[in-house]
Amino acid sequence: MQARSAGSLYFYLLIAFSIVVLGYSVWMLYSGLLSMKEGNVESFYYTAFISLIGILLALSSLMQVKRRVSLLPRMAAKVLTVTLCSKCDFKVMRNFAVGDYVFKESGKCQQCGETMHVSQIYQEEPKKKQD
Amino acid sequence: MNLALSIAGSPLSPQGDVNTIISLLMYLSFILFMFFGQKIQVRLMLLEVDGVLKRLEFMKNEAKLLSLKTLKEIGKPKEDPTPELNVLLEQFLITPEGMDPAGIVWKLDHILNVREMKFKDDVRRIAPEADESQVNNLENLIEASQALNTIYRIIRHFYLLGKRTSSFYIIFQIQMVLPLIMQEADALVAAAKAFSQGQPIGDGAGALVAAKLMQGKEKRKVEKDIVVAETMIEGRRVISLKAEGPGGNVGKPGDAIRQIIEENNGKIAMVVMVDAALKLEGDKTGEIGEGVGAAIGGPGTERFKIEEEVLKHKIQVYAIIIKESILEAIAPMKKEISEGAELALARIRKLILDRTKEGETVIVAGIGNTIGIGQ
Repeated sequence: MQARSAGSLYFYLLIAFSIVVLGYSVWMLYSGLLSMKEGNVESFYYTAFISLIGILLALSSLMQVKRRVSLLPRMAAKVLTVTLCSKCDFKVMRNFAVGDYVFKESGKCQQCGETMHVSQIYQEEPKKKQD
Repeated sequence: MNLALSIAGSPLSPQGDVNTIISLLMYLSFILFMFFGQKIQVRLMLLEVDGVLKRLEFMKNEAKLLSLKTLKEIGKPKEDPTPELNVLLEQFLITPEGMDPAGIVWKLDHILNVREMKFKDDVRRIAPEADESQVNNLENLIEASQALNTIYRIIRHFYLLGKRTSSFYIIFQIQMVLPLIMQEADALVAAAKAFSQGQPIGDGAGALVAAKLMQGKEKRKVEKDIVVAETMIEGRRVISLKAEGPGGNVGKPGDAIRQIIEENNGKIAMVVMVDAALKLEGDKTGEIGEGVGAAIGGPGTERFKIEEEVLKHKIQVYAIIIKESILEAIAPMKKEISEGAELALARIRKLILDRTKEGETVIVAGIGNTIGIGQ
């Protein structure tokens, strides 16, 4: 648990650091452009070189973070149990509970009193783009 | 303007000093990469493998902890099961010698049977309170942890070997397959969670189809953990079979099909095998494919038995597959796969009506791990 909270702290620090580097690099590039307007071309080359490296590093780091974030919904995906009444097709959807299995009897139907069965157990679709 | 630039760029001006330093740095880096490029690349690759190794170590430790927790919760052992679990995690299987391949299938089948029997007995001993279905789930869970442990040890082996020898090619070959290995490790972590809770997995799609055919019919047990039920589809007698659930089990469908064919004196018009199969990138999950042949994975012994038997009696064999990725096959079942089972059922029905006549007998074999699926 402690390892996980340390991991998430590192995760947030990485995002903050990347944003700071990105912001500073953009500002540096802007001031480089200003100095070029003032005729200081050499200073522009120097700042442009450094700031472009900074922008690339920050963007690459943020892309890594984005990739890790896209994995999170899959790790935390919910599994649902669907119970169905074979007589009146009344359907109940709930979170999976240990001991559930497909075709297990699952109490009486609230509408007609017939025995209900687990008809499906599946992992909830994570909200992300298709692979 | 041009004149101003040439003065600024000249080595005599202060800006010229900066220019000279930048040029010098560029020459230096060029020379550095020329002589030490491969060494730098090796260091970078080792750094990447090291990161993956740390992640794998975390994953295998998590899976081991989950196995221990589930063993204690379900099995209620009197003593700490950690030492026995460690032995199980390091267990291995030696496949038969293949120099003389005649009869190798039966040798492998025997070794697999012994391995399964021993593994199950070991799990029963460390989880005395678990029932048969829970023992099967625990066996699957420990197998997932074992697979993660093996992956971790193999990657560590190549990492340390590469580091010790500084061999570019040793590190390069392991670095190349890292994405595929991580994909498999991710799938195993998801599988461990599903096994610990008894949730159906994607591989159970075939078993789910057979279970749908069996619903409400009288069942009987046949060879090695397989249940069979009979139903009628428009005058055709359909014998459906699957591994006995809801515990994690694949059974021995080859032996069961052989037994059913023998019981019917070889008078079987058709065998339809339904299984989850690996999709290619870009294919849709849950899509149905239709083909000819024995649709069954694993080490090959069961497929061999089925092929031998259908050849002996000249029985047609058809395969219906439900497409999914490696990750989806061992992770909790996705909605598309669960719905794919209904589509597969419709396809089987059509196949039976198209390819057989009234009064004939058909075997429908639902292949796959039946965890979380009853009958």
